[in-house]
Amino acid sequence: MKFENNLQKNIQLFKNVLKSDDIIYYQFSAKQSQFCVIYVDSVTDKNEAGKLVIKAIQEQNITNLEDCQKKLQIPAVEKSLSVTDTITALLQGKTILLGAEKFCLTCDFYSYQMRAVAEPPTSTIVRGPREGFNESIKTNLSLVRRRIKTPDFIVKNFQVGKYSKTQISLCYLSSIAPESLVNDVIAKLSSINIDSVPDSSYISKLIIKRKTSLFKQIGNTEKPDIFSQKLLEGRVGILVDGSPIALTLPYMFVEDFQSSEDYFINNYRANMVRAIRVISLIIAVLLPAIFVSAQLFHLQVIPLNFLLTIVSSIKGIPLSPSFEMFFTLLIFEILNEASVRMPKYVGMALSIVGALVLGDTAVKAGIVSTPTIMIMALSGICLYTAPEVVDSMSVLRLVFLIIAGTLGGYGVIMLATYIIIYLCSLDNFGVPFLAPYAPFISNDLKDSLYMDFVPNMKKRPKVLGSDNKTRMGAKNNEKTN
Amino acid sequence: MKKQIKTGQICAIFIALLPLTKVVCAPSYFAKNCGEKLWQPLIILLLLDLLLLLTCYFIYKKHDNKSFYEILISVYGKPFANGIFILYAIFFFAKTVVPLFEQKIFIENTFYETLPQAPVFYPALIIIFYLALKGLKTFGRTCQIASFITAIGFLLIIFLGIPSADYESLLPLFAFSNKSAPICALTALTYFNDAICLLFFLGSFKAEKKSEFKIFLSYLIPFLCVILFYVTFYGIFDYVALSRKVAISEVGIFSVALINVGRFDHIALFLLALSSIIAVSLPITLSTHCLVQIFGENNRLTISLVLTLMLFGVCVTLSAKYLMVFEFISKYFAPLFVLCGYLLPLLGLGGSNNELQTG
Repeated sequence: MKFENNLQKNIQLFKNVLKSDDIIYYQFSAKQSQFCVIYVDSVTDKNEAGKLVIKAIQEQNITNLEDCQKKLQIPAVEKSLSVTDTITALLQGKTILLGAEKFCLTCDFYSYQMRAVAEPPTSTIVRGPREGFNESIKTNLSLVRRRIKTPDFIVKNFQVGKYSKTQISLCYLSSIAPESLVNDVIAKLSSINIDSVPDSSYISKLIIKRKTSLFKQIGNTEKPDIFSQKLLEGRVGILVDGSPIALTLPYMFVEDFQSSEDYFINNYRANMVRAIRVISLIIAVLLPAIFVSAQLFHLQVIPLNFLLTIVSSIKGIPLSPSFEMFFTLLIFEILNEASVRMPKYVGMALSIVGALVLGDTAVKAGIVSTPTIMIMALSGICLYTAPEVVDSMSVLRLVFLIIAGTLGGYGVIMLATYIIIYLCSLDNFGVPFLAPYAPFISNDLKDSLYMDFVPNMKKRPKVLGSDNKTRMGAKNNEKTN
Repeated sequence: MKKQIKTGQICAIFIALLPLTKVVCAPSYFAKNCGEKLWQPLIILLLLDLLLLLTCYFIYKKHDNKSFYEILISVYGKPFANGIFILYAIFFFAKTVVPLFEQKIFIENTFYETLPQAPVFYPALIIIFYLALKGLKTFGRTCQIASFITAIGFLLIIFLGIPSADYESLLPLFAFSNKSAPICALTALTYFNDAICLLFFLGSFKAEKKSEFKIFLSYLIPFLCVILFYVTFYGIFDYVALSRKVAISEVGIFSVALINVGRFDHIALFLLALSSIIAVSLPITLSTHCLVQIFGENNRLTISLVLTLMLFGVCVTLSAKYLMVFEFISKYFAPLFVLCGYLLPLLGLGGSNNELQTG
């Protein structure tokens, strides 16, 4: 389809394709010439378009599009010869100016309502920057640009989604990120063929190697400060229009135990907190399974006094230890799911019903024992010390529980061994998932489960394979940016 | 050459796995045959293994990190190399049987005293299969995690045992009159000769700075810990040591700490059980590695599956007859263990660099 020297025919070209009611065709005349402005009603700043295009054309008696482009102060004005490209631009929020000529002009009056930059609810901190990404990719890029002011910061845009035409921005630092990694990600993003991209999580699911894996393989963050730091370590980042969650890759398991606040608080406290996260996660996943297997198969492991307490509390309980724990876990997951879904104003009622009525009454009624409730509560709380892994670990907890109830402690050991082997075999974009522990990379231990003092972290993570290795105190002849 | 394994991973393999196959039933066997001089065959085996390590390193240096298979092909031809590697596949498979049975005994006797839990052990074979399937790279990485676990578990058990041990029962220390030491060492080869692994890592790793020193130490230190474990075991049980079948779970049992707070040595035992699964996987992984060299990487799945199924068959039919199997293997397989463990590696010393480059 090509434009012609006839305005009505040109308008018809659009009308043949765009049949939606929110596509506005506004025809107006200036001197003897006729023009038409086409825009999508919901995403265009009509006041600005009226003032800078329609009114300006009429006031300056412009008669053709060439003069429009030369004389008027229209933002991001471009000449377009292809009708198809123009329609795509229109649907992305551009405003089209048509005349009786063999081309048209596209200009940018894109405007829509968006959420303000605010602290992300999923990663609140006491110390450190509180800005969070929102659903606008332009705002998100501006937040990153504010933190990285170098020509090496590269943004490559992609359009993904047959129908959604979602903008995706691949961000990296050309002097730090390995070229092979960038090329690999570009190839994967280019190969995506899908109807729409509602959220960045779709992208992460589409570009990972092991699509059925239980474990997260791409990092995500809602915070521009974390995103920028990841880029400066040698990772690449992906921003998706319409999603406040940015993706970072390659991703390693230790990242789940790191928080941005760790770098802003006292180092000793940061190390203590990281250790607590690791211990909590082990407790969260294994404690219910260990308790059940100890009760069923390994009573000798339990100290005598504790054993007597358990015996007195499980007296008269009709359920087997494994079923009792499974039942309590099920109740916990139901309460958890309900608390997320239900309106906030009934949250208090849920707490009372869940914690007091259900928990207390179940114990008094002799359906479940007090130690079981205690173990499950501890496990449930501990799981949320590493919120990024809640999805996978809650599933694992259930699997461990089932195995513990059937095979006992050795079953738990076998499953743990299998998981360790599986994780050791995982590579994300060429980076071992369990690095810097397997393979062991001594340089990268400075920011792993243990955290060294920030002034000592002079090198970038070796495992990421950046040629630009030094990030602090580099000599002049070293490659730094 | 595709690098699969690093020096640190080889060290981790030795640290993580070396002690585990030797501390279940072997200590009572040594106590039965050598009494208070049970450390003497261990020293013989240690010296032999250190010599073997040096031989492997010399082969590595001489042939510029060619794999053992490539060296054999270059020097002796492909049919000969294939024959040797089939022999090694059998050797590694045979080396798995006794330690695997002992793991089963360890698990069932230690963790499941009251209930017959035979099926509990068999899922471990799935892990053995999985590791064999994944190959050396994953094995090396897994051992880096397992080395911490083994170190914690093994040292905890030894430290629990030391206060209860009476080392005077080992005296006189330097009375070299016991002629049974070399025979005991020979018949216990199924547990030892781990240094042979290094021969099969050739071609898959590149030596780093001081790697020979690191590998040497990573072999020596766990082995010395094993010797300490044996003497502690004998120090605790003295002449009744030969009747204590599962040494690892009995060394710490008399610790005062356990009496006060409960059997927390089980935490260490569970940790060691985790590493033990990986330890018994090593020979099967190497057996798979040998056959993969012959039949190609595409057949790795089939090879590892067949080997695991064979192991499962052996385990189901013969694990109840542990003593008979042990006697059979230690008696009839000893020549194979000597041949494959200490003599065939010398083949790698043949040929020269020029031959390899043109071969």
